[in-house]
Amino acid sequence: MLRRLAAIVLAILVVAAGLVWYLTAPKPLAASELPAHQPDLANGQLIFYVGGCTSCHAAEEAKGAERLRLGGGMELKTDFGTFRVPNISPDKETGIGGWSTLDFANALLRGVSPSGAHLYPAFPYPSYARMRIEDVLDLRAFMDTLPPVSNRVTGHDLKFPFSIRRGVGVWKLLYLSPAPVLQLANAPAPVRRGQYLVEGPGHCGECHTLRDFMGGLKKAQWLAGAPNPEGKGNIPNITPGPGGLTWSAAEIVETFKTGFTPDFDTLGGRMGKVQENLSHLADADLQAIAAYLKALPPLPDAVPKKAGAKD
Amino acid sequence: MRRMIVGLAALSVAAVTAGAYAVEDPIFTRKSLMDANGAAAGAGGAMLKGEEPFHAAVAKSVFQTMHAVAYSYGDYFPAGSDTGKTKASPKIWEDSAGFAAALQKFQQDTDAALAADVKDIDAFKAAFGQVTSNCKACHDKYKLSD
Repeated sequence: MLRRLAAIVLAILVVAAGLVWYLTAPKPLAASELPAHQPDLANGQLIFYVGGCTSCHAAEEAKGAERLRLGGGMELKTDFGTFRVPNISPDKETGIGGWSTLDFANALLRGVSPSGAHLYPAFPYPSYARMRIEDVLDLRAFMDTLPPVSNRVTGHDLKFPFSIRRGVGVWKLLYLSPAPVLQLANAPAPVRRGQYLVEGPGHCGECHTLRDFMGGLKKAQWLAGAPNPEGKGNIPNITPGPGGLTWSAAEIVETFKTGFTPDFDTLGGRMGKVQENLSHLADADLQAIAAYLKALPPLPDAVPKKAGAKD
Repeated sequence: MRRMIVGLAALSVAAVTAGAYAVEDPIFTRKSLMDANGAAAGAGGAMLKGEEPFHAAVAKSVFQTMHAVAYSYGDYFPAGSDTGKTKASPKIWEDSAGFAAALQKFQQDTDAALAADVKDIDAFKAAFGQVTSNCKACHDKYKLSD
């Protein structure tokens, strides 16, 4: 009797393990899912700047044309360990010049590498998964025009259990979805365009939204601020709620264009680079982003502010 | 005459008091200077955006304020004033030569803006752009972002 019970338990465990293994497997797109598409380089450039690729993949202090040299190498020091930003320049040996278009789409939309392994979501594909595939193809075409940079970047240096890539499969089951965060299907066109830019390629939520203990975004606290993932202080609440963004839509647009806030402070830290990217956008897209931010559910600060550190 | 002397005496007392306060609370003082700088930038920005009409006198006041800030701001970062309610980066003290160079560039740009003696919006735009390019350059290195 006992032996029989043990056999049943063992059978259940084997089936469960097989199920988990199956569920956590990388799920790449099939080649047949790529649409026939004539790449639009101007749109690819727009998506490149909305996506902020250069903020992490160019050299840390890069200015001007150097921001288009995507040799990687920057270290992101987080609670999970140190991520090393890869080379995504079109270099065949050390960059992604050897990747097929399908490989590229799988990295952005599915978080899967060309060898079929899970990518870590330090690369913000949970947001990029909301992108239109045509935008992904345009982005690839634009990035193919950038200079190849020969720079071999070593792998990440992560703590256990985050060092097990298969674990990312569990994470994806919980958090990876191409669905929009907010339900705004009936909102005016600029708000919906802003939603696409912010929730998709712009990946604003990756820093401006609180994460749970597994590193998944708490969507009930969408864009209401979070601790700085790279050290001291907080990333601000950008909803119109208490403690959030009080700027008018026109002021938001002006801030993105000039880098000066309405009280003539400057946007600093990582946001300084984001602003440099956003200054390449057309007014209509900046206005769309502002319209979406103004339409957000107003939430109080997800992380209480420290007692007035301001200079 | 007597009244004028009394007035001057009162002014100098006020100046001495202000000086003492500045020494006691450099963080408050440098923050006030930067607020004045921001207010001047706000006035300049309003003229450039067409929210306010261009006035040469306002333009001069904008640059004169920034000039005064540029030449005084650096005096309010004594050793030990890196903690408290401040967003000053430790780099100000670690790289004091670099911070001094950034201030000197700001000073020279305000000198040039005042020397240009702008009389129209186009000249103002050029001079204002040059002076305010110092804001981000210095903040990115020497101001904490949160």
